[in-house]
Amino acid sequence: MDIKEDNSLLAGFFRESAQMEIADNGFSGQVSRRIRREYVHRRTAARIWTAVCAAIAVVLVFVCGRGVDIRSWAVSPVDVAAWAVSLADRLSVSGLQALPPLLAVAPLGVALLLSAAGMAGLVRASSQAPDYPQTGRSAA
Amino acid sequence: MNTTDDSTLAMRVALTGNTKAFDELVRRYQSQVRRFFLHQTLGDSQRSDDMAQDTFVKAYTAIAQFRGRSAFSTWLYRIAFNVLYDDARRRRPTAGIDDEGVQHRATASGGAQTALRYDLCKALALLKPAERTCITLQLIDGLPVGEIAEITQMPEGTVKSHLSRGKEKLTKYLRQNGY
Repeated sequence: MDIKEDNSLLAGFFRESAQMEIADNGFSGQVSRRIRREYVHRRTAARIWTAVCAAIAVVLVFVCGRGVDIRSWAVSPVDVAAWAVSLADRLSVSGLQALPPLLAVAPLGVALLLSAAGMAGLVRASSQAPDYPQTGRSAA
Repeated sequence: MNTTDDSTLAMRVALTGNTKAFDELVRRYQSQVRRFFLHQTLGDSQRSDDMAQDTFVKAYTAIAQFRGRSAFSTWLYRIAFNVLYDDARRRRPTAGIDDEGVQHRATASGGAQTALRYDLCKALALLKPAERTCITLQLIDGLPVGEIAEITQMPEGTVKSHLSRGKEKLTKYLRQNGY
């Protein structure tokens, strides 16, 4: 009985608050501007950074591949891919984790591009590489 | 006319970073979130709006974590509760809400639309922060105990204890003041 009375007393006391509607008065706009300022611009910067990384990766692979026998490297495309994925992880941890997932995938795109570029460099170098001298055993 | 549900809008934001979809979510929930903070801060509308803004910004950055298992509002309240908790931790323990502060805020006429009644502020000031959160979520926002437990990450038994103690204090205060 008492509990019922108490509940009804409290419900009456809070009724006005429960029906309270706060007018927007520019609040949504402020939130929107803050998100654009803090995150959308940052996302654009992240995209530019990704593009720059990809361009550097492609240039490096072709510059390093020229005149060098990539087959003699101790690094395989798998190693390059592993390194690139690790780099992508670090990039994600360092600042892109706060972005929506598709954007956070951007460094992974860099990793895949690096791998593809590494493969392309390897193929290119293979096609241009001079013949190696035969080893003693096979010559015999 | 407004038929796009919260989950669809949240998915658009998560997949494409669509800020317009997020603006719509902000418009839908700004009143609820600001009202929640207004009651927790005993009518401090400036601090409430700052925390509400932080809540929405955090929701935008973490929206990929919204899986749709609970209602979007529950997920948003959970973020709001964390923002409130962080704010309380940052503030000096002595910077509590005193009676004078309550009176000043409650009688400030500038934001008449967002000002709380003096008696309401005074009653809420009697409660501990956890009691106040549970009480307002139940009596103002009309949430069930299970949902309050999900938002505050407290066991349901603890929420019930806070509700019981809070209600006891409030009814005592109301009866003493002739309600």
